Amino acid sequence: MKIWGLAIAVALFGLGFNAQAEGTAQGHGEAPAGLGDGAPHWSYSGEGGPGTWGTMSSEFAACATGHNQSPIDIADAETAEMKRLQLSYKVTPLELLNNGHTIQATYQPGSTLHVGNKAYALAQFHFHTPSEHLVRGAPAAMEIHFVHKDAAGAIAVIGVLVTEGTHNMAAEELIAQLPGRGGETVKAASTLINARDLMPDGMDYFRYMGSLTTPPCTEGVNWFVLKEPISMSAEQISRLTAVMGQNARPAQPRNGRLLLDATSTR
Amino acid sequence: MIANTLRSSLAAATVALLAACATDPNAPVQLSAIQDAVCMGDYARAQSLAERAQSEGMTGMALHVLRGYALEKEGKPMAARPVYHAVIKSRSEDPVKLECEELVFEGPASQVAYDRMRVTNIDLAALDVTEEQLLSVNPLPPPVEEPAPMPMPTQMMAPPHVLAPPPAPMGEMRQVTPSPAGVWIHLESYKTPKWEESGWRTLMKKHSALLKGHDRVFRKVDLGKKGTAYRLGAGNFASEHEAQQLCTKFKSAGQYCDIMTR
Repeated sequence: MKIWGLAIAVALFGLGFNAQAEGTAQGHGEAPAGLGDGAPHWSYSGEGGPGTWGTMSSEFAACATGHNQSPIDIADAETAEMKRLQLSYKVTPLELLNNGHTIQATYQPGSTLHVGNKAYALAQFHFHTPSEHLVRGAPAAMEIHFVHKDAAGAIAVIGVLVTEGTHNMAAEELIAQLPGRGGETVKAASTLINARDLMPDGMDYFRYMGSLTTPPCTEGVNWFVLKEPISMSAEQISRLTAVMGQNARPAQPRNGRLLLDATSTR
Repeated sequence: MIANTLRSSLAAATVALLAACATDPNAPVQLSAIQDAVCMGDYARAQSLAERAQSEGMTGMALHVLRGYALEKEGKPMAARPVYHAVIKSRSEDPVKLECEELVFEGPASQVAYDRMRVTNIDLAALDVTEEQLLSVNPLPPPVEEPAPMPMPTQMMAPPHVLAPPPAPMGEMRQVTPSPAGVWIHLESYKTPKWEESGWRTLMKKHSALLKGHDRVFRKVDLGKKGTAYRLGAGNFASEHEAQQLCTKFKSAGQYCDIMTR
């Protein structure tokens, strides 16, 4: 029962249904009973691995049949002058959920990403080890996905690659309080975090249209993968990996999709 | 025994036929070979063939339209745009047609290039490319066609229709009542009425589902100093709202569309 609930919770976090995730966040509570009854259990390896997601459920069909799936290998991007990513992020009390597949930091309302005249509210961010997106065939040690949603339900995700390097002070605030068990939530109202601190100074990006990287692999997601990575120490990456495991979906075919390299932004 | 002999003969005949059909790699590239490569989704080969054809002296703008389309479909619209731009600038009326499982495009080269340029504008704007970037590739000379109001910013940046074929005898203008509500949708513009039939045929092939149940509307418009334009579109709407809804669908399909009330 518990594992089904977790599976559904992860599917919903990707869609930005944070009310569901928040519904599970009662102290160190588990996912609500019955939430995932009958839902297929997916994972990153073995029987429920990425190659089987699309056939597990009709709701997951896009994972196999979609032509605009994420992640992708970022290569041969066309350069273009793109609109600037304008972040208006506020601090939020630390709230970390271990949903069995990733560590997700839930964000309180009020933080916004503007791209031109489009506005997306930051809903949550979560981690993948190693990175899901590849750059010219090479993965980074980790990737953070900052998931935003606009008033009409459109999703925009900023992907930040993490390379192994210097100790990251901002990340340490989270890593020091990781919920170790699936379904566990850690809340620390006195610890205020700002997602901007987990992003690089440079906001140039690669842009394409893709999907959620977890079932149901819904398409129509606006992807902005930042070109400049941030760094974390090997020890920090190791601690996150120890809790989440390896949770990267393999790169998906590009299928002639537009992939733009924002060399300069306005 | 007989069956085996027959099978062997058939196999031999098949091999001979295949050998006969095999293309000579040294033979000059034909336009149809580029079209075939595009239809098969082998866009890299289509580009390579187009470049080879050009080096072999193939002329005509159809070649460039196909090359631009191959670039576009390979996910390289930024590279396709200068190619389309050159075709639009040439004002070529070379006939261009690409029909795979269904008609992809058909018409004068400059018109097709213009339509494709407009699609890239929409696609790139959706990916947050700046208006300045889209304007940086803009056909010259300046508009000779009516400056039709275009509702989407990207369409405002799109090159105008540049068709300027020789004048043709103008038939009797069809006076179709646009709709009970007096509303119709404007889809294409021409400098001459001779494109009405082929223009409508192309629209019907590309958007038959959207045009089902709607009448053709063709209007002559006096643009003052800019001359005369001929607007092609569809009527028979119960309300302006209904026309708006259909226009939205056309725009989603990459087709210019605007609401007309007279």
